[in-house]
Amino acid sequence: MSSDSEGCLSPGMHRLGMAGMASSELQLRKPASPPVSSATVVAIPAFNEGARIGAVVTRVRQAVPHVDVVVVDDGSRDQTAEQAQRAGARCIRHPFNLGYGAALQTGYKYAARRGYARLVQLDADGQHDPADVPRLLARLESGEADVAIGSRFVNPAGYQMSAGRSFGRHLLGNLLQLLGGPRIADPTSGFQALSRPAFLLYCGDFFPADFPDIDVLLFLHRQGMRLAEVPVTMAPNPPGHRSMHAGRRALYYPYKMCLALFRTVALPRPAMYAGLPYGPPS
Amino acid sequence: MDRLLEGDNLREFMMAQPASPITRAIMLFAGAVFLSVVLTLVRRGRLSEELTPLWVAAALAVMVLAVWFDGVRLLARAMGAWTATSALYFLSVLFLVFLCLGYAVRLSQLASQVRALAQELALLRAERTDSPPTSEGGAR
Repeated sequence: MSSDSEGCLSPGMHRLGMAGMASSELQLRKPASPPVSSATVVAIPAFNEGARIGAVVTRVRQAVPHVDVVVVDDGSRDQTAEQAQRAGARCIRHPFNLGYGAALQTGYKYAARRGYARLVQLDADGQHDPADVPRLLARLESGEADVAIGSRFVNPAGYQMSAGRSFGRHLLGNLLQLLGGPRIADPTSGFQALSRPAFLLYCGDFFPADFPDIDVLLFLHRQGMRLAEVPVTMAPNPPGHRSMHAGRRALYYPYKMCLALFRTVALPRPAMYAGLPYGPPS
Repeated sequence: MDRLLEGDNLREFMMAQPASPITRAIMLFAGAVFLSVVLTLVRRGRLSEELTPLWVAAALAVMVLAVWFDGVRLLARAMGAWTATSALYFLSVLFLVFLCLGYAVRLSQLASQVRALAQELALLRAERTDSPPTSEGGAR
């Protein structure tokens, strides 16, 4: 490639080894792993949460002032990004809506290339209480676990779940155990803290763009990651909130989850590690 | 007539019916038109060569079978079909089903690539305005 044409490419593309490749053979070459700090980042995927995201970011910054906060705006049509930045968060904006799972994964990729040691994910609708973040992180820092899952049901006081969802939760929990996974009381909780080895594994191509749930937990377990539950308090869904397990998706979700579990169990090794930014774990 | 209606006789009777010249002419014409449409799309750059082999093969197969209709009968007998047209119909549907599946696979692959590129774009944009992890963040 001539120096002229190289001049048209962004420095980021050079770093990722995209220069000089035809579009049909676009492959992101493995960059060198960045120096890993001991820092923690809170990643918040958000889609059209302009009304709530500012308060959530503020609460996170008050609860854990020593951590960085990054909001992944998943192609919102409202003021989500502006409100998040105004509240003091860094913001990554998807050019269009990619899905909840893809937004989470962008957070993992951000943390991976920025050298963060730990990542906490929480929802943008205010359901998760940032005051619980230190307890989740404590489980990672003590070395007891690689993933700490904030559970509504270890101490089940407070949170009310509909009969249908409760049945689904039990079913998924049992299915996870049946497939050799650990016993998890709240397998659909999106409130989690992950160590670097765990979120690096989530940067791969297998990670679903829509609903990452017990399939990805099972994947981590099968990769030797230790999962632990930490009791947390969760607020009910806010009014007008559209759950990713509700409506028509409530029908599609169980089907998709069965197929995703099958895939996780039968995943061939090359597919397991495809797309990992720094190659397979050593 | 009664003997004709017995299973095997009826099958032989139907299989032996000559293909109408009009049907064969339509097949030949349709195959030729389809092939020329494919080639025109390639010439205008609206269809990549990579995706043409199946379409060209399908058009040529229709034209060959129009000329050599016994080929369809051979296929039908091998498959145990009752009529040449039903065998042709079944094979066409099978071809289309696999073609759709092939496109679904390609779509999934493209969706995965678009997702990776969109994430990459978002991360690079953020990097332009970002600073390294805070020293406070390292305190943990």
